[in-house]
Amino acid sequence: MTRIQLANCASLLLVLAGVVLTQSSSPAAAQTPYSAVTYIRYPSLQPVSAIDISTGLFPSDLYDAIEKEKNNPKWNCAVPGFYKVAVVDKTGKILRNLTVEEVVLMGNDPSGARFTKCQGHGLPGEIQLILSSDVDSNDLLKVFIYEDTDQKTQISTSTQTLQFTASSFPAFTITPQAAPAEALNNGETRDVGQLNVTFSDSNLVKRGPLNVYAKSTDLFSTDGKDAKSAMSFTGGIQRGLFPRWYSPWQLQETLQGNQTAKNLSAVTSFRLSADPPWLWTRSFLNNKTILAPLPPEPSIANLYTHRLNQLVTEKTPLLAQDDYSLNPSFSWDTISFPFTCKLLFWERSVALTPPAADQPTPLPTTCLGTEIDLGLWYLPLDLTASKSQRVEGYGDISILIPLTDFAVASKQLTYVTGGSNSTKFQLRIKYADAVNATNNYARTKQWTVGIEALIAAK
Amino acid sequence: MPSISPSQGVALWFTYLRDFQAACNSTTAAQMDLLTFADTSVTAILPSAQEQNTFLTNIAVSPGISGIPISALAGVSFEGLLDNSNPLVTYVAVLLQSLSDPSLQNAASADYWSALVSAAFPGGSKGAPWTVAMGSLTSVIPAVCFTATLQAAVNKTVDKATSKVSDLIPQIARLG
Repeated sequence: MTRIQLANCASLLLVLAGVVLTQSSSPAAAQTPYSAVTYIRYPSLQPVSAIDISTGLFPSDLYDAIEKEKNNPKWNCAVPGFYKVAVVDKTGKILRNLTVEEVVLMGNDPSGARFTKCQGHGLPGEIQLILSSDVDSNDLLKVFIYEDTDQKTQISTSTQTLQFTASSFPAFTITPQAAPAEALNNGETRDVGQLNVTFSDSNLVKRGPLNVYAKSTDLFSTDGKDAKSAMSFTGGIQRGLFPRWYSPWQLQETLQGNQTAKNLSAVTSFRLSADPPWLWTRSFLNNKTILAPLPPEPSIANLYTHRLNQLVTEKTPLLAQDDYSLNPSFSWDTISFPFTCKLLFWERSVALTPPAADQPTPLPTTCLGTEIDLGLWYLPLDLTASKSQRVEGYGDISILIPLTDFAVASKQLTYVTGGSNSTKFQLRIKYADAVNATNNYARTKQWTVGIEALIAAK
Repeated sequence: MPSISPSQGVALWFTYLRDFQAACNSTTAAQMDLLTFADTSVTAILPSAQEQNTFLTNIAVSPGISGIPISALAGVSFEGLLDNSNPLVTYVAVLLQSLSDPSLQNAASADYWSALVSAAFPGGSKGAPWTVAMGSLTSVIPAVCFTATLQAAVNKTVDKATSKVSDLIPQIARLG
């Protein structure tokens, strides 16, 4: 889902415009068995450059070639020596050979073990040649498969030259908004305009042992004293910790502060997060009372902060120049209460149990829902006035009211209650008791109301 | 390990699909029947990046598919996602070719693909070759994914004189 927040500040805000500039790639139907791609490998989160070979493509010359070779005891599609990947010029002349570091046969056999050879019959369906050579995105590539490791008898080749396609792209978002009666650092309030800017690139280095990423989240205000103004630039590395769980550890450096840099800190953090197993909850968290199909997302971060500049106000006292914090947090979305559909949206009903074999189950309807975020800043080096260690808890809770199919208001709010398969609307009522770590842990308590458009990603 | 039979290939594809279902780590996905799950958009079940990352980590273990970039999850159903690396069309084609008229059993894939269904299965939907093939298909494809309605439509294609194998196989692999 792509979520565009239309309004989210002080009762009801006028939203000026929203611009979302992102690129994404969707898998194209495989017309040729060969393609070249850079992507993040799971579960290690290692970036790789690879040649993808669709050995299961039917009909194809490659399929037929493997059928002929599958019983040849001297041929093994899992051995790098049977492949050659070369950079070629436009005429097809080989300029240099690339090193195939590893051959990965995708999929497990019927016994649950990883494939170790080409079985024929389209199994495995895909092979990847992991390259250890540096390749430029403009390089033209050609792939050869041989019957022997001497590479004398060729059994298949890519008929067209290949070029690497990235699987991730930088994303850039700009969202202007108006914020009436915004709190300023000097204790006053005034109407301001704000500009949310985000940037992210999840895979800066296309090949290496670690995933390298960069991101920025900024809120620029028309008033430099706006307590919410913030800049944050982050660069980091990450890698998976456990082989059977998405559990990345991240080491990152962030430069953060407000837009005038009167608050400015360098934060070194080490973070671990995971999605816990959740299927075991289906007996008590998937019923007509509560539907929580997805697990909460816990994380814990260790942060070392070096403060370059500090803005001291009535609400934000002077903090130590060097600080350490422990930040456990917990986020739980997609909780809904199906029984409310009957109470409020009587035109809809919710199917929670699988029907008979020949009758497909409709997607569970989301009714009144909620989202919860909780967290804690433990600041052992930062003492309070009573000389005790500082702890700042924070959290927010949102009540989500789906407007699409909202029968009782269908005549008054035709557009937002109509919706479609690709666009739906919901009302978010949110209470936040927030602590702004980028602004000396300034605390704000706020009710917000907004209408969100949920747009299905293409 | 011993070679995998054509019917095992089709069965393995559905094992992979069930593995995808478990890998979602979602109670909603777990309670769907297999056809609904196959047709559901990945991002409808796994809206956040964290959930998508969890899914990709899980499927790298079982069914052992580790080469899917996270961007490939957008705008695709679970069946489409699995078909990208393991096309069901291929495994249905392998099964049907193995049960076709002996003259086509060792044909090149392109020749089999363009063959007439009447040549592959003489006698139409009532003929012995197709009866055996249909029996094999129904024994390995879960009933919810190969309903009586789809079977009747497939039989019509088999009985149509101008139908090619390239018409028949995608019709079966579309599921329903």
